[in-house]
Amino acid sequence: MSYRILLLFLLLSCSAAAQQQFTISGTVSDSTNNESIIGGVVYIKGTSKGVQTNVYGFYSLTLPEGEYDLTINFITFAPKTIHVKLKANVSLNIRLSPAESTIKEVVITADKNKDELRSTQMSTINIPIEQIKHIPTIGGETDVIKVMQLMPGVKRGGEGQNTMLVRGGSGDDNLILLDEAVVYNVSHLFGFFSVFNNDALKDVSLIKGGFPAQYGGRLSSVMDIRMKDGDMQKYHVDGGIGLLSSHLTVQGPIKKDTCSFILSGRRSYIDQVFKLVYKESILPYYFYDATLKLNYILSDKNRIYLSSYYGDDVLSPPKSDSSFFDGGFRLGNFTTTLRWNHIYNSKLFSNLSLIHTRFRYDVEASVPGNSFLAKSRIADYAAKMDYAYYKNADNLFRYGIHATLHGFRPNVVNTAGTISEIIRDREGKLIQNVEAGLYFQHEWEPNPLVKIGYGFRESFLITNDTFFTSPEPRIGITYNFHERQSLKLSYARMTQYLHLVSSSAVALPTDLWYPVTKKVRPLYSDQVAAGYNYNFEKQHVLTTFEVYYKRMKNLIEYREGAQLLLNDNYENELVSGTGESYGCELFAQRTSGRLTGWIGYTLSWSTRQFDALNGGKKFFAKFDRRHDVSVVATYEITKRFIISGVWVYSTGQRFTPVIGYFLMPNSTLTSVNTLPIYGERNSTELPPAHRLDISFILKSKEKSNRKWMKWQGEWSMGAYNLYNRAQPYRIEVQDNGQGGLKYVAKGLFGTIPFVGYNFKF
Amino acid sequence: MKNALKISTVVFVLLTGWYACLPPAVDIDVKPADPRLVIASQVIGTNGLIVGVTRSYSPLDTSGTQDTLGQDLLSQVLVENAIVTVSYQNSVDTLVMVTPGLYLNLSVPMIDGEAYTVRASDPSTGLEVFAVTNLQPRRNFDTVYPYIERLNGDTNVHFHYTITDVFGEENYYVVNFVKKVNGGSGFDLSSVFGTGNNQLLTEFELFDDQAFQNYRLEKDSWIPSLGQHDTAAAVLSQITKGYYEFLTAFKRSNSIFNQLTGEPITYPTNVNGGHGYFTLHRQDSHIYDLNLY
Repeated sequence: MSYRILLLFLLLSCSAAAQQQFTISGTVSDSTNNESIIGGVVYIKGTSKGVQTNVYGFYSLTLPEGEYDLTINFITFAPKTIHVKLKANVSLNIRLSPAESTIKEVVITADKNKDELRSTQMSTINIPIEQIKHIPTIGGETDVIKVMQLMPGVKRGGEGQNTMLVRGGSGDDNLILLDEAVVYNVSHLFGFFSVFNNDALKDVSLIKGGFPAQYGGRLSSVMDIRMKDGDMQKYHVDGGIGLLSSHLTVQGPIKKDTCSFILSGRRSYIDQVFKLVYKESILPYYFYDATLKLNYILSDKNRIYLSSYYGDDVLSPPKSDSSFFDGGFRLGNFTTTLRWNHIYNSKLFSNLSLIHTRFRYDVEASVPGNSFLAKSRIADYAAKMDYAYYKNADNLFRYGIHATLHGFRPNVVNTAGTISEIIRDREGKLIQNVEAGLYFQHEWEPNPLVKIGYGFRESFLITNDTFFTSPEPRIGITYNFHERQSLKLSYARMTQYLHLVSSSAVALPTDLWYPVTKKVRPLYSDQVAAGYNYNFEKQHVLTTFEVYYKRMKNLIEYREGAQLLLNDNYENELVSGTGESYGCELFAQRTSGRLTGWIGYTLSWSTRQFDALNGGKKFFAKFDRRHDVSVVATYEITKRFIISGVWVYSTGQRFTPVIGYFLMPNSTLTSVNTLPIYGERNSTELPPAHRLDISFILKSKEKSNRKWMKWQGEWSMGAYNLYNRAQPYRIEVQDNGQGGLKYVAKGLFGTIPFVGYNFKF
Repeated sequence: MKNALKISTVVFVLLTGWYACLPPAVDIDVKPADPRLVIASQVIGTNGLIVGVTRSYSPLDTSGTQDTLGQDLLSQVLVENAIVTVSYQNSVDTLVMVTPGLYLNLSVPMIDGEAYTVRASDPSTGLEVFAVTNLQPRRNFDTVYPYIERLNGDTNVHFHYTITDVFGEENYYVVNFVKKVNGGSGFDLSSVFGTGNNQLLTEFELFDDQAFQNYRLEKDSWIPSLGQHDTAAAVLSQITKGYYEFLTAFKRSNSIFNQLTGEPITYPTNVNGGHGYFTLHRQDSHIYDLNLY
């Protein structure tokens, strides 16, 4: 049935192509560095006809013969209008210059907001990277994931953690892509910092629902992160020194306007600080990451990109003969993406991506006479071929094929000494499978009021002994009934073929990804969402109100008392069930002007039902939080002085309390144990969490020390959790001061001040 | 602008001072579980039955450390003067209190496979429970012996044993390893719930039919808590599926991994309206002086 509907749409959309038409196509880039602009708006002035640049800055607009004023704009850039006489196909590469003052940006925002109003894509968040830089976060480390956690519909895990829980989903339901490579572990320092170095990033978007057909593989969200391409015109350096880490980015042309590079690195140094102060390695932990990207314009129609990420978390105490215990760990990601953009003609754009991604952890420990080494690996090799066909201003087709060879080798163990009698050596079972997807997506504007984006994805998983396939229809409809208002509706089915085995909210090195099997079936979600958008044009604020309902099948939870560590038969420790989440989200965002920021509110419910848990009764998900509020504001007092604040409030997370104990002798009556009695699963809420974070940024005056160098410095200082409120994450029994006891909830962090210095030249 | 810098610096210094304080804990209202009766049991000799009757208690009744069995807490949880009966076939026998929390009858006919119902009521609280189980037959080790592995300056005590399963039945077994602590008084019924009750420490292994190959199990268990100079016992019992699941839950809850993550575990029970487990099983017990090995 769904195939027939698709065919009908296709025929209808093709029937309006009888006129003589020509195409304007090209790329939009930043005039200062030739960096391509993602999401730039190219439209015919005075009409609603337009198109957004794709992730490589490409656009194509097919119109009837005539004369047009083509307007191009993008936030933080001055808009540009070009008069075009369209008598034949025109190739037009456009360079935008940064806006000179924030006041001009307001005009741009208005147009950008109008475009978002018209777009069929809903439940999507785009935050300018420049704005992310100013938002205070724990430790002062700029962190895209922590910023995304401030968005409606996105909840955080534990305090300071990078876990994202999107619309009632779990932490492993999010597809996180860095230049199209899947990043399996997004955290440094046990989840407190993300692995993404902000200096190297160009664009971040988070899709929570209404997924376009090119995306698949996770139930709840897609976070698409794009790295900067590198300045094609001049060399420059960005860097920063913070309390926890320092970072440095170098970029520049290898051959001007043809080939460029960007190299970015970051390292924490708390280990070195302790070493300096105490003359020994008291805290031998550090993390580092590095990104490299090269891009080369081969010709007007061909361009290649090579991007790579490498990062590790390392605990490595110095080995010594006198120490009783030696041990440590190393875990991290490595990704490489090679992409080739090819423009077949003014209407057809393609991209071929070859991707390798790897996540591994090694844990080792030894005491005299005994040693233990555990390793785990996941390595993917993927190929993606994507096409975009810009038929005319009203029809855009996307289609493509993706295939990934997954290789999992968990639980490789080597032991020596007596411990080998308890923990046997094992090679680890190599599990390989192929995950693939075919998709088709059509963006169609049948009339100026209505825009429809529909598509279909067929996903597959092929293993040695089984085969899964899942049809995934997608549709989004926008009814733009007023110039400042629109209504949107979307439906998407998503399928997930792997899951993270972890029984803790804290990211542990032992958390492992496993594929689905005959026993552990693929996970499915069906989500419908409806939204109302209003563009407050004078205030330059775009507001969105959305309601959603999501149903999830074959969700995984862990059997009570699951033994996950070094367990090759982990499937026996998993139980499957269903989930449901629904709620509404309000989002009001201002992305330019002196005052920028947003207000987000989420009212939501998220439940689970597992036959093997909670007596089969439905229970609330662990991170079911009824209310979630975030207020984020950045105010540019002067060009050099910026103040920024974040206030968040959320209903406390749920937990299963110990509500009693009993004494139980063993089966020979030779000892007694105290056993806990738990309440119903996730039946109790911790107290609400709220906090205020602030930061002050003071930029130095631009100094031209030398003709070729312009040094710009920037001090940032501020505090996380300014009024020192506990963000409850666990409960304890304490003296109540009256001779009795009481329950209290404790937080992890109090006020944490930070200071940092950033520079560029 | 200089003023702004000064103000920011002062604010920063103040915040740094504040950092020394962690945020105060926030009160939270958690409703504790109502007390319930807890049943534990053991077959003694050929016709003896001992039943433990205690009350569950709230975390707010302890000092926050649930392992601390203070005398006040013990007197609160050990049920005195309970009415405890066991019924089987058409007979009902009453058990008498030997010490607070422990009730005994040495003349209950123990018939393999027979269903027994225990009922307990606590006159001081009005709490009542009952539980039903079947007496499991005695199973013996085919072979069992300890041996000591002597490494560089270290010794490890192992038990080697073999067990034969019964054809055509779904059976469950527990093997307990019991250590008499040097200087301890050994098994003392009155101290089962006492503060010094851990004079005999126990580790155990659980087996179901899947552990057997051709109805035979050959196993070597390293018992880290045993030393080469200890006195130790290996005890085999056949148990019911329900009690096997109870002990499995207990074993899982005691794993390092579970203790680390604190994931909740529900202990299965056959006690209606209460906690614990009413089990009747016999034991094949072998005692060893490890000095001789």
